[in-house]
Amino acid sequence: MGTLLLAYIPTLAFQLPVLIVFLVGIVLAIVRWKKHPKVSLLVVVALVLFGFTTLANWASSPMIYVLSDQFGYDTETIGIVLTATSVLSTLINLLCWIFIVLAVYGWRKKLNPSPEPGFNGGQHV
Amino acid sequence: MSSNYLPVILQSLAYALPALIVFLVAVVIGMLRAKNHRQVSALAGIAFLLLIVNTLIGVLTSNIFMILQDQNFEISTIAMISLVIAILKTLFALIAWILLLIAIFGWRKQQQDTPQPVVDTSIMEEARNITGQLS
Repeated sequence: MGTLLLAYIPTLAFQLPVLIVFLVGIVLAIVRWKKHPKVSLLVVVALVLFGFTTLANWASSPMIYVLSDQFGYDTETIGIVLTATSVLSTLINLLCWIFIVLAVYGWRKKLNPSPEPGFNGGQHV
Repeated sequence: MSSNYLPVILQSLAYALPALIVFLVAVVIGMLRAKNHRQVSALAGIAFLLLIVNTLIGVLTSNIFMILQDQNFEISTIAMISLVIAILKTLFALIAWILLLIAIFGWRKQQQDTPQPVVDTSIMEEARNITGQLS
């Protein structure tokens, strides 16, 4: 199992930049926790789960060989296991994306409120 | 493209569909909120569009090995095409995530538990004007 994962490590290179951005995002959220606790909480939960599913998806390819060679599972069982993990991963990712959309647009104050009618920069018109 | 590849593509699409719907909803929300938060909506809109394109590339190339092998491409060519697709997908995802993080934490005022009292500075300015005129 260990050597198999070692052989697959180079394929992780494509996931690495995004995983680093996830880490940066988590650090940023923790740093800004005091200012925006709700947004930071959503971002941390989403990014941790995204990181977990990214690594799980990456590990799923060698897992096929482990299940068949070491545990002797047949093709049908492996298919069921892979479908179940794919569905679970899709659901987790969906939840994370909802958290990210909420974090982008939620808890924002209007930046440029329209001026009161009859007023222009504090001066009567 | 042969219809043999269709089930694999449809299966990939089924897994990608929930996320695609969320991305589309996010783009629509961004368009609706563009008036209030222009920069945030623009960045998030670009990011979610990139993610839509990225997901569609992933769906369409889900059985790229099978398609290229059936077209009698050499293994080295298949490897090169797969590498280019993987690099493109990583690049798109990277840009999208950087834009999203900027959109999440940028242009955001501090969240306050207790609301600050609203001070109407226009009255003070008018008082200053009057005292200026008197002196």
